[in-house]
Amino acid sequence: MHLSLDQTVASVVVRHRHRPGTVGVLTGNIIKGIVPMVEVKWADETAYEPLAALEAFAANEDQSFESLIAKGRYGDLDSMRSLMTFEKLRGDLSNVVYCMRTAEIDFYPHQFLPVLKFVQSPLGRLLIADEVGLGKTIEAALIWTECQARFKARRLLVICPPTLIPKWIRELEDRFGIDAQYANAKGLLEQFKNCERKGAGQGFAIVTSYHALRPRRNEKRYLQHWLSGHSGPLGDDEVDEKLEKRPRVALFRGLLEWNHKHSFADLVVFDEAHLMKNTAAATHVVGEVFSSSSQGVLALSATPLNNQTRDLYALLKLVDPDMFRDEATFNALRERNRPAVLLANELGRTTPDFHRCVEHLELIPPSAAKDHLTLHLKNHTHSPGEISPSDRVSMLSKAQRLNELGAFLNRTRKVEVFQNKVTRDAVTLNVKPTPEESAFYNGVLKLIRRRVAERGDVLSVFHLISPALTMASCLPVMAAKLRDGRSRWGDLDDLAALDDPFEAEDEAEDFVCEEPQAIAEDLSWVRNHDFDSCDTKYARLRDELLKRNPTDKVIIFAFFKDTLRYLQRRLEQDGMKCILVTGDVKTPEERDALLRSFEAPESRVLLCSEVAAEGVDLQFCRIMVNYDLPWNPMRVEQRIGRIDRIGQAAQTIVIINFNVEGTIDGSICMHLHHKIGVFTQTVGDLEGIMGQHISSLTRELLVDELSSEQIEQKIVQTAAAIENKRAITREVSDESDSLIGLRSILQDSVSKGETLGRYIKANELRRFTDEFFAETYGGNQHCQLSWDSPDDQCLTLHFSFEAMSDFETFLRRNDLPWPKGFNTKQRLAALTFSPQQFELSKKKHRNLILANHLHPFVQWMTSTRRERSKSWHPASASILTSKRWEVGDYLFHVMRLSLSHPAMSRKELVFRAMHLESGSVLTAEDSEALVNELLESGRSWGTTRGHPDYSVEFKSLVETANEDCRAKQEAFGEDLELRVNSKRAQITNHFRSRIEGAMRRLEIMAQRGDRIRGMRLMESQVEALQKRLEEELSILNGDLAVTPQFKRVACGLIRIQPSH
Amino acid sequence: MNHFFVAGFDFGTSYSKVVLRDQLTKLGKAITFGSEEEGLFPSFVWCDGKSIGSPVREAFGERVPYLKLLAADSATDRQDYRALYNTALKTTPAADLLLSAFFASVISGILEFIANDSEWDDFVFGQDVLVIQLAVPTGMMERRDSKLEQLMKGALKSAYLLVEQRGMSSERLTLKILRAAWDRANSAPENSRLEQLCVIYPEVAAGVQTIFRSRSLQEGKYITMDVGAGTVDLNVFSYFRATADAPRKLDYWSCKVAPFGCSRLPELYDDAGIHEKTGDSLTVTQVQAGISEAIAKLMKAAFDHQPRKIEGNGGDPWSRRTKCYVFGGGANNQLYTTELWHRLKELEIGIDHLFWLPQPSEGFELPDDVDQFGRLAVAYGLSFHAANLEEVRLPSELQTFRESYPDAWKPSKPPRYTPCTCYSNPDCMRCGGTGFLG
Repeated sequence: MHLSLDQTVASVVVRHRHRPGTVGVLTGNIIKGIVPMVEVKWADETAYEPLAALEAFAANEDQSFESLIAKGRYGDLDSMRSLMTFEKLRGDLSNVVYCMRTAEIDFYPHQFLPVLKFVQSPLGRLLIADEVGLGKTIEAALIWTECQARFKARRLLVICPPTLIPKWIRELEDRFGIDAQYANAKGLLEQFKNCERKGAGQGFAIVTSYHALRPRRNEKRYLQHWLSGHSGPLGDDEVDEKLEKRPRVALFRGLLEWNHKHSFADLVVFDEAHLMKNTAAATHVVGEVFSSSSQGVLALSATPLNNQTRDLYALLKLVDPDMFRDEATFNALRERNRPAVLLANELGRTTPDFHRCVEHLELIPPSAAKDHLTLHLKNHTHSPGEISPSDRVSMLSKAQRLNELGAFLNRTRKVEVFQNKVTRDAVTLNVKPTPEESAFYNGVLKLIRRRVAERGDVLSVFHLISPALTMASCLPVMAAKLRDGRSRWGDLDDLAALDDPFEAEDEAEDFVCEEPQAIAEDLSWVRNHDFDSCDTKYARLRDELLKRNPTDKVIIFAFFKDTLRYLQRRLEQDGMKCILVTGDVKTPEERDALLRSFEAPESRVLLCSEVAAEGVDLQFCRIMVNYDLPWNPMRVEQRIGRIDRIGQAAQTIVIINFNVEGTIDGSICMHLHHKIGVFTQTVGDLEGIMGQHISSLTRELLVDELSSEQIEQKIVQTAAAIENKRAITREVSDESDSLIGLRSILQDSVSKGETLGRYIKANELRRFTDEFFAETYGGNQHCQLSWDSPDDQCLTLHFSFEAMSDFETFLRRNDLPWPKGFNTKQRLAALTFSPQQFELSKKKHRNLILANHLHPFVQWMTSTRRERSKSWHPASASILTSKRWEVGDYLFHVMRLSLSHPAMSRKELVFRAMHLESGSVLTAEDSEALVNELLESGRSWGTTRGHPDYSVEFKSLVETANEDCRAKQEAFGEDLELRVNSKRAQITNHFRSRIEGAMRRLEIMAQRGDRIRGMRLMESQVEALQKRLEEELSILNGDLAVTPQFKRVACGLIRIQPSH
Repeated sequence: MNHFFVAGFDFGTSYSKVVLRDQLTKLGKAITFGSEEEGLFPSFVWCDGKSIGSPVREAFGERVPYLKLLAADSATDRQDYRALYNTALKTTPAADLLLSAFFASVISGILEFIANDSEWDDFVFGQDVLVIQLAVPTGMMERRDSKLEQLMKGALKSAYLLVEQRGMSSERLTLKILRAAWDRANSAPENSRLEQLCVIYPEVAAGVQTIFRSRSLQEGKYITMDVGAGTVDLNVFSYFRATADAPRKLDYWSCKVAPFGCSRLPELYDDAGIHEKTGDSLTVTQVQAGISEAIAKLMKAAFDHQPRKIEGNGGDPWSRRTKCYVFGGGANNQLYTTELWHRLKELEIGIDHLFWLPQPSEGFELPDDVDQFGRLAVAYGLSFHAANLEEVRLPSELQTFRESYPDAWKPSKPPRYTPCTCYSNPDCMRCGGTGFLG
C-alpha cells in the first residue's frame, strides 16, 4: 500500500518496498522537492528515504511463502545470504562438511574421506591407514574440527612419538588455529582432575607422547595387579604407596575408574599407532586405557596392513576394544562381512552379474536395506540391460551400508591420489674404491672372522654387521675410530630404535662388537694413510652437488652420527652450508628449529638420520641422497617419504644412491633394492614381507664367504621370493580395500560438498559479522569494525564495553578461556576469517587471529543470533550471470528437513528449482548448485516494475520437494535400522565386557576378604553400568518410526543472464 | 517514477569515477564508460580554441588535462598548478566552459551506461530522476569565498541542462553553445530545479562515507590521505555526536593538496603520459619530500586550530583517539603509506595502524576489472542521497578544540570513574552493571 504525503506523520510504521524484511517508524521529518524524502527510524539507523520506496506496514499480513510469491514481495540477495549462512552456522546439517576450508591447507578430496567416515561411524572410532605422505595429521585435525562443529567436542588429546610433538603443536596452531599445549603425565593428570571437577564443559587440546605416558615396568605390574582386583597390588605397602603417587599411575587408575557420563577426551588421536601393535608392550597399555576412556578414537598408521591380519586386529582392537574383543570375534566378523564385500565388488564392476549379486545378498542378515536392495536387484535380473550411473551409485551405496567393517578403517593409497603424482628419478653413483680403501674394507672383515675363529666362537651376523655397516657408510670415519681406539664400531644413531623406538632399547648393546684396538694392530698401515683426502665416495658426492645440482637444496640421509658429522665438516669446507639433525638433538623444539632453519635460502644441505627426520615434512626439497642404505626397503621408503608427499611442487624428485663396489651396500642394497624397484615406485606395505628375507640374505652374504656369482644368485633368489610375497600381499591389500568400501561414494560426496559450497566460506562470515555488529551493537554501544585492516581480508575490531562484557559472559558460561590474540585491556582484536590470508599475514601481524566458524568469537555471534531469533526476509529476487544455466527466469525453494531418532538424526537442506519458461524442474543437485552459484556471485534484482504471480508454479515446485523429503525419509529409515542393530550389538558388547570385568574383580575381592567399603564401591559401579546399559538399550529397542519435520527456509526468483 | 538515481561523481585530477545508486532499491553500481577500463573516465577535454569535445570521442585540437587544477587556479586567481595544465593553445577557453563540456560528457556517459549496460534500461531521462552529486575539492578552497564551489556547481548545472537539451550527443560543443547553456542554467527559471538535481559535497567527507555508512564508526579525530594519480589529498577532521540520536557532524579542521600523485613517480611516469605535458620527472626523494612537507603543513594548520596542549584541560589530545585512513588509486604504493606513518609518528599523533577503506559488503557492485575499492571510495560515498550525508563544518564555522573536546577525552585529569573489570556485566555485584566504580 503506497504512502501519500499526508500520511507521513510521526510514528507511522512503514516497510521498505524493496527490502520487505525491513520495518521502521516515520519521524515526521520531510524534505519536499522533486522527489519527496521522509525520515525513517530503522532498527539500526535513521535515514531519509524516497517516499515512493515506502509502504504502510500491516502487522497481520500473510507472510507465507505462497503469499510472498503471489504478491511478488521479494527482498534482496544479502538477506538471503545471511539467512543461508546462519542455517549452516547452526552446525547440524548432515551434508555440510564443516571442516572444509577452515584451515590453511590445499584441497585434496581424499583427506575428507576419513572425516565423512568418522562422522558416519556409529561410535566415532576409526583407523586411518593411509600410505606415507598423504597427510594423516591433517586428516586428524580435520576430523577434530568437524567434531567441534557437529558434536561440540572440546577435549582433544594427541598421543604421538616425542619427536613429532612440535610438528603437531605447530600444525594445529598454524593451519587450524588450535591452541594445543604439550603435557606430560603430570600435566595430563591435572587436566584429568579439572575434567572430573568441572565436568563436560572443560576443554583442552593436549599433545603428549607415548614415552611420557608409557608405564614403567613396576608401574605396569602394579596396574595389572590392581586391575585384577588386588587392594594392595604389589603387596609391599611402602612401594604401593610410592607408586600410587606417581602421576602416570594415578592417571591410569583414574581413567580406569572413570565413571562419568562425559568422556575424559572427546577425541584421542594415536599417531604412529603401529607402535602399539605389540600387545605385550607398555605402549599398548597406553592405547588400551585412553581408548576406553575417550569418546572418539582415531588411530593413524601408515603400515598396519600387511599379510598379517593379526597386526590389523591389534590396532582395530585399540580403536574399538568392544567390537574387536578377540581375534576369533574379529575373524568371525570378517567372515560375516564377506558377502557384503563381494556384493559391493560385484556391483562395482563395469557389467555386474546381478544373479551373483542376489546370491551374495541372500547371505547377508535380514534388514529393510537388504529387502530394498533385493527388490532393486531383482528388477535388474528380470530386465538385464544398461544400468544407469545414478542407479549404480544408489545400489552401491546401499550395498556398502551393509558392510560392517568398512566403517572402522580408512585407507588411501598414493596411486589413488592422482592430483599429485610425482615421478621418482633414481640416480646411482657408481664408486670404484681405491686399492687402499678395498684393502681396508676387506681387511677388517677378514680379521674379525679370523679372531672369532681363534676364540672358538661361532661366527654370527652380529660380529660383522656393525663394522660392515660403518665402513659401507664412511671409510674415513672407520679409519679414524681405529686410530683413536674408540670402543664402539659405529655410533649408530638409534639403530635399535629404527623398528621400535620404545620397546627395543635394551637390545641396543647387541650390536656392539669386538673392541677395535686388537684389530688395529693388524692394520697398522691405516694409521699413516690419509683416508679423508682419498675418499672416493665423498668426492663423488661433492661433484654431484657442485656440478650437477649447484643450487637445489639437498637432504642427505645416513645412519651414523659420525658419518653425518664427517659430511658436515667436509661439505662446509667445500662452501656448502649444512644443517645437522641427529638423535643428539635432545628437545623436539630444538630439532624443529633446526629443520626450519634449513628452509632459509642460505642453507644448502640437510644432514639427517632417519630417526631424527621421522614424521617431518620436507616437500620443499626435491633431491635426496642415501649416503648409506638401510637394508630394510621400508626404511628407504620412509626416507623418500619425507619429500615424496602431498605438497611436493616438483614433477620429478631425484633420489641419489651410492653403489660402492665390493661393499655390503653395493651388493645387497643396491642390487636388491633396484630389482624390487624400491627407489622408483611406492613399495607400499613391504615391511612385514621383507624383514625375514633380508635378514637371511644378510647372514648368508656376511657370514658365508661367497663368490660374486654366488652373491648375485642369492640376490636374484631373494628378489624373486619378495616379488611372490608382494603379489600375495597385493591381493590381501585389495581385499582390505574392499573391506573398507565406500570409497567411490564418499569421494563423490566430498567433491560434491566442495562444488556445491557445502561448507562455510570466509566471505559469508565477514557478512555475518558485519551485520551482527551493526544490529546488535548499534547506537552508543557501537563497536569499531575496520575491515581490510591491518591487511586485506582482515578485521580490526574495537569492542564496546557492552560487547566485551557479552563476549566474556559467553566465554564464562561455556567455560572457555580468552582466545589467544584478544587484547582485553584495549578491547581490541585483529582477525581474519580466511585461512589463506592468515598464512600470508601472520608473520607481519603477530596478533592476528584465524577465526573460522568454530572460533569462540564466531560461536558467540551465532549463539547470540540464535537467542535473539533474528529472522530475515525469506524471499529474494536476484540476477545471476552464468554460462552454466539456460537463460531465463527460475523459481527456487529451499527447505530444511529434520529426521530425528535417539540413535541417529539427519538434517539437510532440500533444494529445488524450476525453469519458468519451460516448466522443467531441475534435479535436486542442480538446484542446489544453482542456488549456491547465486549466493556466490549473484546480485539483487533491483527492478521496480514488480514481478508476476508465480504461485501455481511454486505449488508444483513444493510438491516435488516434498517427494524428495519422502525419499530421504525412506532411506533414513533403512539406515536407522542398520544403525540400531549394529549399535545394539556394540553397546551390549561394550557394557557387558565392563560389567564382567568389574564382577571378576568383585569376586576376587570377596575371596581375599577385602575391605567392605571397597567392595561396596565396586558393587555400585556394577549397578551403575547395568543401569546405563538398560537405559541405552531401552532407547534402541523403542519404535523406529520417525516423524519428519519440515521448515521452509527460502524461496525466490532468479534471472539468469548470459555471460559474455 | 520507476527510478530515482543519485550518481556520485568523483572529479579526479587525472581520472574521474562515477557510482550510480537507485535510491528506491538502494542498489549501487560503479559505472564503466564504454571501452574505458576499470570504471575510469579520463579527466581531460579536446579543444581547438573554438569548440570543446569529450575525451572518449575522436581527438581534435589539443588535449587539455588537469581540469580540476585549472578550475582551482581559476577560482583562487592564482597559478599554483600552471606547470601541470599548461597548454599550447593561443586562447584557452575559460575554466567554466571547459568544465561544463567535460561534465556534459560524463553525464552522457552515465546515461549510456544506464541504457546499454544495466538492467535499468527502462529509465527515461526527464521522467525518472537522476541527481548528480559532485565532489568538490574543499582542500583547494584556501580562500573562503566559495568561488570554487560556485564554479563547479555552475558548470555542473549547465552541463546537466546541455544533456537535457541535446541528449547523449557526441558532437563537439562550441563555446557559444556552452556559454548560452551556462547563462540559462544559472538564471532564475531553471536554477531552483537544477539546484536539486546538481549537488556538490566536500570530497573529504565523501571519501570516508564507507566508514560512516558501516554503522560501526567510533567518534574521534581522523586523518585521511587520498592518493590520486595527480595529487595527494590530505585531510584532518573530527567526528562525533553527543547521543545516539543526535545528528552526526563532521568538523573539518585542515586540508592540503599536494601535486605528488602516484603517476608522477618515476616508474609510473611514462605509462601515465605525463611527461608530454609537464616535462618534469620527479624522483622518489622529491615525492617523499613533497609529501613530508604537505603533511607538516597539514598538521600545522590543524594544530593552529586545535592546539596540541590544552591548558588546564589535560595533556595532549592528539596522542589519542586518532584514526588514519589511506585510499585512492595509489594507496598501495608503500612510499606514501610509509611517509605518512613516519611523519605522523614524529609528530606524536596517536595512531595504531593505517587503515584501508573497507569494501562495502552490501548493495554495491564493483566492475569486473576493479579489485581495489579505495579508488572508488569518493564516488561511492557520494552515491547516497545528500539528505543522508553528514553535515560538514568548515574551519571557519568550528568551535575551538577547548570547547568541542568531549569530557571523555580528558585523560590527564584523574578519572571520575574507575572502569570495572566486568565490562558492564548487568549481574556484577561491584558496579551494579554500570561498568564503573566510585
